[in-house]
Amino acid sequence: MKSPRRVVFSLVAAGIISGCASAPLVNSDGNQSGTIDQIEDEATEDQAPVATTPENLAPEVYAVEHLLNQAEQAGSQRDFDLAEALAERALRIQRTAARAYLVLAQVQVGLNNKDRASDFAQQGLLYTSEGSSLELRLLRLLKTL
Amino acid sequence: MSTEKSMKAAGKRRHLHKLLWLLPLLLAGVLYLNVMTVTKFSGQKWRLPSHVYARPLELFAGANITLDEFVWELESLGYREAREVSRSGEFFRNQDQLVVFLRGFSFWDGVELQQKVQIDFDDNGISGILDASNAPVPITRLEPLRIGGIYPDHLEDRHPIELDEVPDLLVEALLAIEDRTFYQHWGVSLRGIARALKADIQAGGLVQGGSTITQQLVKNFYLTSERTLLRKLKELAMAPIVELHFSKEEILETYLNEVYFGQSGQRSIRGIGLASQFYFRRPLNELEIHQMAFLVGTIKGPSHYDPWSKTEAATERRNLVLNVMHQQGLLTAEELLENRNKSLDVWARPARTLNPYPAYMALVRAELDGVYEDEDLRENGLQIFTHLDPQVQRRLELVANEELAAIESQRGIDQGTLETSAVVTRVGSAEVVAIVGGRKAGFDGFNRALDAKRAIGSLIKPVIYLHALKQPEFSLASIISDESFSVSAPDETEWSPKNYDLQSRGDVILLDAFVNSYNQATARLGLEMGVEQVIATLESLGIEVDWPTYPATLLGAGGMTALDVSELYQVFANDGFRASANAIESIYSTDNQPLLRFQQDRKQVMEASHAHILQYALQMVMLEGTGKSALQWLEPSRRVAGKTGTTNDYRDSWFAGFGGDYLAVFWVGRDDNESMSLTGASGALRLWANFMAKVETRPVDFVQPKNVNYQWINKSNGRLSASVCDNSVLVPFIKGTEPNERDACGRRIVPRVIDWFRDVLGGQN
Repeated sequence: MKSPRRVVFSLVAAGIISGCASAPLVNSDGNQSGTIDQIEDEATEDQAPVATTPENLAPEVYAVEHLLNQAEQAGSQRDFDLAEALAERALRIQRTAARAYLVLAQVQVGLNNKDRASDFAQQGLLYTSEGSSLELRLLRLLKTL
Repeated sequence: MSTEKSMKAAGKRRHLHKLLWLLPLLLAGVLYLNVMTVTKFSGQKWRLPSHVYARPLELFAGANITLDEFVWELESLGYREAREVSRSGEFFRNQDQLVVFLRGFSFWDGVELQQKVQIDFDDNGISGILDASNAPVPITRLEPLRIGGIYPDHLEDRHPIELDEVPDLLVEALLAIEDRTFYQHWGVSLRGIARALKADIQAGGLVQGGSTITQQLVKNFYLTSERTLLRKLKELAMAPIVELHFSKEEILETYLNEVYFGQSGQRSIRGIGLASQFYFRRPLNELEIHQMAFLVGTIKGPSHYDPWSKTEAATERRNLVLNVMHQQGLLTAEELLENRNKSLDVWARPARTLNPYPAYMALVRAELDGVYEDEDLRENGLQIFTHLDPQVQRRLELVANEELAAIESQRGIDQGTLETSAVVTRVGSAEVVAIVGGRKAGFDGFNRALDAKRAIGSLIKPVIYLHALKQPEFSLASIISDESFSVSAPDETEWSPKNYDLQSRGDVILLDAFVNSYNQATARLGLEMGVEQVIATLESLGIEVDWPTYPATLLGAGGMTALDVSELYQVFANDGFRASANAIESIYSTDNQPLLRFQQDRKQVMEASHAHILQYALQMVMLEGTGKSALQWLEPSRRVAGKTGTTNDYRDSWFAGFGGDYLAVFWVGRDDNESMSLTGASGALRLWANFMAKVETRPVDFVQPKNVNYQWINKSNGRLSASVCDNSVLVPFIKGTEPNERDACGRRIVPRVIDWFRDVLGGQN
């Protein structure tokens, strides 16, 4: 439930946003869900570009997590080929699955391809929330390169 | 008398000498046949074509596929509807639910089990999957559909099987019809020959062959089908040699893989494994009794018993086989009756073309070039797994065909004069899921998608704006003049770009110039940056071009193929990371050993912040600019991004754009490069929007990098404004590049709003 104050905030924000101006709306990944909610509601009305939240719980997340669990397990057993194939499968379902990029980066580290590892890690960072454990793991990996 | 005797004796000796001389020759002949027989039988028996497969359909809760689409996929793979789903390859549909017995398949990353699952659907696609014990299945896959092949010169196609893959009943039926004493004879059956001879004499001609299965194999495998005494003698000599060296099982297995089962256009259908797929789209283990009887009966004369054109003869022949099976105790009377009453049950006649997706196959071949020798591809039976999505491909083909015809009809263009090409890739991985190389997609002709470099018009503009955004003094709120101008080209001609509507708009912000594709403003911006620098920026994205550094290059005079454009726009869609467009996922040997996998690659070629800003501008094109007519076909909630492209005299109509799943590039034009009076919006965009309406279900993944801020900007002067102010627009900035000055309205509104928020939120800040 939103608090009354938050609801008022939302209404005011919506009122401002739906003024006479063009109103393309965006938000950054990892922002508080309340903020995203209010903007998405309004954005539909205004047909404006809206930032998405890659980590929200869409039904496919279950499949993606399942694949990535397997991928991480394969990676930990140094079966890089399998880990890579599973992580790629996950990315076909959810392009912004940051954990998949982490697996791919780890695989490249294991194969001593530092440049490729860096590219995967950099892309993964785009899809993490600020301060999340995934962000920290990706940053840590980048530091080792 | 003694002289006579001695002459006779001398004559006999001469004959004996002659025979003695012949004996080594005979021995040499037999030895030769022996070596030839053993060598060919023991080595690689056939030159096997490579088979090419589509992507496997992934099944998981949340997968965007309708029940009808899923059933189409199942039927393409030869799954059949059954009330009781008890065997692999069967399914049952009940309203929004489907029970299917998956066949299972061995993939690179593991084996997909043969299992019965229940799949539930809702408006969004698959809502859940349960296994036989009602436990949720996180994800599973269908086996991939075979979509073509790379064939040897003789165009023989086969899918080799091992004997234990063939149902016992099928083998017994085969022996009952073709060679009842197979396990007793040594390659030649004298009783069989006598029986056939008697039948031939009675009929006054050749009506029955006395050949054993071994003889038939020798004839098909080593010899020709010519009817000469020498060939027959060789056959009689070689059959025992084969029997001497190889087991009955090896002979039977080779026979089953060698035997001819008919023709599909130029392609010769060989072996029972492929025949089962060709006629019934089923693996051997799923064949029903009447289908086995049909296959056994067909061996005698595949063209004579063609089930599609000679249904009656084929049915009679099948029933004859069923009768024999009953006489031999292989079937009960009830089974005989039941199976005789069945229709032939064959699949719709398969396409006679070797490859139904020639444009896609061309890309597959291009990727294999340099990886495998042509001979390996044609003769070593590789299994090539690709990313082609048959669902997306068939929609693409439909749109290419129908929409071009509609455009011609509505705009009074001569029917059949417009051509098209299109490439569809998965956003992010750049995996190519569909291609058309022309409006007749199944026609293996000029592949425009890969080979036609056409001027790209305004599709180049994002590169110019990218180059500007890389300079700290530029943002989407920067002002640029859209007044007309002229400049001297290197060939000393005057170049004077014009806007589409021949209007000039004075000073505009870059966002407006981009969204509305103003040529004058963009050309001015590009010239300010430098043509060479803009081309260098394009090349930094991984796109190689050999364009001249003429001013006209800034408005897309340079040529690209649809595939090239796809690679360029992938960088924008994929947040600044380049991935090479690719068709092949993996390659296996003929005996299912993994050989090669084509990994996804990523290379950051653009700052994510720049990519985000361009994505924003490309989305605005669809909302307010030259792409907004797409909303006729697309729901506004399907947020998409894209750019139109039109070239001089309307010779080329382009559109490149993406949603959350797919990036599609369409080109429309004429092969003779004549004008066709279509812009990017009135031609290619129409095809693109129609296509995306059918396949795209997710909005653009629009993720804001941490160093990007949004500000309300006054469109007429590029100053900071507020959302309630007239003429304001929200614009993304790399932090620190926002304008410093605020417009009059913004100066009035912003402090008041901030004060009001402070009151409402009281004490929270």
